[in-house]
Amino acid sequence: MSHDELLVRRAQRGDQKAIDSLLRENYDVVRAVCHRIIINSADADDATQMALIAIVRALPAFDGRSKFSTWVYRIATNAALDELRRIRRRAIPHDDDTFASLPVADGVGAVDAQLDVSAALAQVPEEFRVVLVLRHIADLEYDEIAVILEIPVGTVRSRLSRGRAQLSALLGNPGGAHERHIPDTGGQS
Amino acid sequence: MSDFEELDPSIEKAMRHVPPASAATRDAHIAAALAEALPQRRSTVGFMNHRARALGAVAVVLVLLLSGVSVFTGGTTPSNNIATPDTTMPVKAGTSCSQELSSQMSNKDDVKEFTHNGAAFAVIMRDDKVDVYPSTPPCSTLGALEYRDALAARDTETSQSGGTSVCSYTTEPIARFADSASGDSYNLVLVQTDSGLSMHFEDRCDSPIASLDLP
Repeated sequence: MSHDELLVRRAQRGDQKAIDSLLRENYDVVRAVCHRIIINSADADDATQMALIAIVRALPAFDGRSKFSTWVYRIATNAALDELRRIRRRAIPHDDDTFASLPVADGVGAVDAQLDVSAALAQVPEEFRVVLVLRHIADLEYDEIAVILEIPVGTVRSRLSRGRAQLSALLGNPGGAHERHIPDTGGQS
Repeated sequence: MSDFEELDPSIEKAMRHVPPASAATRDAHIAAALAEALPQRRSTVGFMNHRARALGAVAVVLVLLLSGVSVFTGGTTPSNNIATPDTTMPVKAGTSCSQELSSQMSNKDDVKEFTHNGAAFAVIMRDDKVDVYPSTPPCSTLGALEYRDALAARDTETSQSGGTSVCSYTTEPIARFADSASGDSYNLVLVQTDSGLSMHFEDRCDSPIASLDLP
């Protein structure tokens, strides 16, 4: 039994230390998924909180049929999408302080790059942004993304293609996009 | 990557780089989530919004730490699980201790009932130990079978021979489950004896790793 499997098993039995370890090991990626999908820092933190709570609540139901990390990404994604729905209901205008609360990472250049990609991602339509995050932050395969978002693999592929093209264009097309026309196969979502 | 297109590596790198949360934020988030795993606190935190919940959870943890309860210790203390109280629990009228225990556990299978000398008891499988309660209020722990040291000792054995591979019991074991100290996971069996309870490795019937006499 692997370290992760053992940890999950102990956590499912209510072992507080194991739950704590699981949450800490997955915290950064949960937070990254939420921040990149939601953009607004405070809302993303709320989503991160809700995702962690959802993980704890759902732990007993985790059946091991998927990788634990995939299961965590699914919960984080759902928490982020739920938060986006709440944001839409609140109808709050774009938060100018979105990035102001982000701590300085490593110098001015890094902050500029951070603002650029965050601002660019904010302009990418949500349906494209979510697949970009799941692919490029969570490292999920197309079929895993398809399962999480309950859309066909072909739709994942086309949304990724469009999302990459839009993001590259918004960022001044650094390095150039390897453009190919990908039809929106299986278009329903 | 087998993508139709690649994302420029510099963009992917920038996407991945989400500035880390402050330690305080991270700890607050995790504490709030852990508070969800503390069954007796669920009803109170459910009414709070997320930020208040995080602050409340930090307060809970601070109170627990100040009162000497270890929540997140990584040490070898055998009993540091605060998921449910170890002493007396308030029980609703008409509720048995086992029902109350079950309601507080995420996994209902961790609570078992049995009778001994005509009296009913309940056991709850916690981390590294089994707590024993009477079946009816007052629900004070009667004792515990602690076996962490036995698991840790087996981890260090050079030979992992399992002794007899199949054990037979005169009565059906109360519980079979797996647990570990910090290494391998072992299948354990909780059986009833003439004097009370004893715990064995499932593949070693010869001697108990913990036992408890019952009235």
